[in-house]
Amino acid sequence: MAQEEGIWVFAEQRNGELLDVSLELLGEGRRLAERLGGEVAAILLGNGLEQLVDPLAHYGADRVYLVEGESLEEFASDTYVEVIAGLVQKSKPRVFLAGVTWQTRDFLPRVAARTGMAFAANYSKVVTDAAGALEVTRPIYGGKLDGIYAIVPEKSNSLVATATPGAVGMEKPNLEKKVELNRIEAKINSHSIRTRVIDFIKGDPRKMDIRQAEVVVAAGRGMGCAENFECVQELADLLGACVAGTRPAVDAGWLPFERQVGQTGKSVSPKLYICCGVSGAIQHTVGMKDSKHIIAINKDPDAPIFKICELGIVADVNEAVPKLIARLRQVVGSGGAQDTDSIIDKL
Amino acid sequence: MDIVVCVKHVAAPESQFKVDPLTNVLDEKGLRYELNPNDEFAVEEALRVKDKLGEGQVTAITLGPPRARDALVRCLAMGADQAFHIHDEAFEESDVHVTSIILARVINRLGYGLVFCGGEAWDDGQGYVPAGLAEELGTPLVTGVTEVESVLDSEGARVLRLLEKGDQERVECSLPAVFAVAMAANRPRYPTLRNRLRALRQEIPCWDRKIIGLEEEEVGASGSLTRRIRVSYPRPRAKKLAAPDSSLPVSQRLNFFLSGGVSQKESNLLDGSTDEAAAKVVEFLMDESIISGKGVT
Repeated sequence: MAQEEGIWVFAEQRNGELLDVSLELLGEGRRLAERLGGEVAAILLGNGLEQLVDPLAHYGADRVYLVEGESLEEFASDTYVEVIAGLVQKSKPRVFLAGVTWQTRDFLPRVAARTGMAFAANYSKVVTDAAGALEVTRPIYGGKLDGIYAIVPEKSNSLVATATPGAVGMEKPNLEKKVELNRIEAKINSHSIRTRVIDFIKGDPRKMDIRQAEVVVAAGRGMGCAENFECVQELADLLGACVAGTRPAVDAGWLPFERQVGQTGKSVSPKLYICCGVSGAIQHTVGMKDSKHIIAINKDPDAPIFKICELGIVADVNEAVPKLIARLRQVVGSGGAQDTDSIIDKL
Repeated sequence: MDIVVCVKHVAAPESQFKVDPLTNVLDEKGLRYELNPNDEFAVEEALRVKDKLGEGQVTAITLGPPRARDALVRCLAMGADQAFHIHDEAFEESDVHVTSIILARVINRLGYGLVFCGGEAWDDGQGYVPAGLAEELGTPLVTGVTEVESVLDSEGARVLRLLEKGDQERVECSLPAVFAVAMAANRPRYPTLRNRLRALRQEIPCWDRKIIGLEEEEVGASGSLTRRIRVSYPRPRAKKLAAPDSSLPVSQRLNFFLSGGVSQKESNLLDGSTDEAAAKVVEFLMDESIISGKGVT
């Protein structure tokens, strides 16, 4: 049996765009390859994706396995398992890295099961022990502890490990780097595909889990009463955002508990978090401080929320929010709100 | 249709997690156990499918030490028809790979049309067993299932599954199949006192290695691909400490060190008229390409 060697990274794409986590992991793959030896290879599946080969090289890949075929245009667990398990059995990587996404959760453990590789989800560190066997660190008990696992050499010498997006950080690309391209045509037996996607249902911000939202509009005690609260929903609809709230807003019955953000609610980190009438008590901010952009509206200029926001409006929310809605309408037209309504109708 | 639900008895999240500093193993004294929270959604979805079909039976199985029987009692109290406890001293220290093999053997023996699992066990967080089962049983797998819409023996099943950003997909899947149910997919029923008492009296057969027909070398630590060698408290995330700019005056450099190199976010306070402020916010949203002139991006 050939010795397992090299680091593989699953280059995950959506509609022809690479996910950041895959680029992060290429950098991580480089660091691992320096210690474990072998090359860094990116595994790219889809159709018409040649333009992605160079970026993969720039972020650290020495080799790209580009598997193309019409049957790979859409993601299907069965086809991905078949293609990737086939590649693994042929070329035998030592470590296979991928980001934690709905796709990898669906097919990657099956690749491990089929090829006899060990599996570690959400890994934080891979090292080798004195004898050269792999050792992997990963969170257990919801992250309260770290578990350190040895891969038993008599049983397996290779590992599939997934990492959460943003966990390792991205390296600067090296635009000079050249790459070797292995082009593979996918041969899929259509009988082996046992699931079929019938339709796609766009996420409805009024119903979905606030942790999955890209934009969140949050209301606090400063909204005053339930009637005023309605303009928050209107603002959210315009932005295609989820409505969330602080504990006082939930206690007042404006929102259900599953939309509470903070210590006793959920933690969110959307692209944009707009807080209306939220003072910024620590019990709330622990649940939202990791948002990329924070905009706050509050009438108290000394409110702690203004210390963590990027943009703050010192004004009464019940005056500022309708103004903001009016202004947004001018820019985006009424299209935003209508779109959301029509989605709700469909459901 | 025969439905099998795989569950796990896990340490409850509110337990005390202490590491023995001498042996680097988890101190089990502070642990309280319960049915894995994710598995409740799987049990509920299985019961709903049975209710919809109006026939068949739901069988709950678990692999674990004697205490794990409690998880099965909970499943019976929720409405499962029968339960099997898979327990043998040789099974201890089995990793996810071996666990899948043992459970698949049991499921094959029980007979099945559908297998339900929770998305992942709270304690281990691997999310491997549903996939391991699908591979061992040779069935398709759908993960992130939020609802089983319909089950037709001939055509298969239609399910809704969660993708990302709240998006969902309607998937048709041939049967038999393994479904991993998403967290918060449904509202698990709360067992009544009467059902709990009934569940306590119900017999739960225990299947050991010999009944299942596995060799000693295949299971436990000797069959496992991975072995937990120790546990530790997670290391706190290192704060990035950049070196201060040497051209700054001493007082500022000192302040930099005292603050740990962390500067508060430069916030831009708009306290003029609300009209102006609204215009600025919209401008900001466009700059960050959260909205565009044509609509929300």
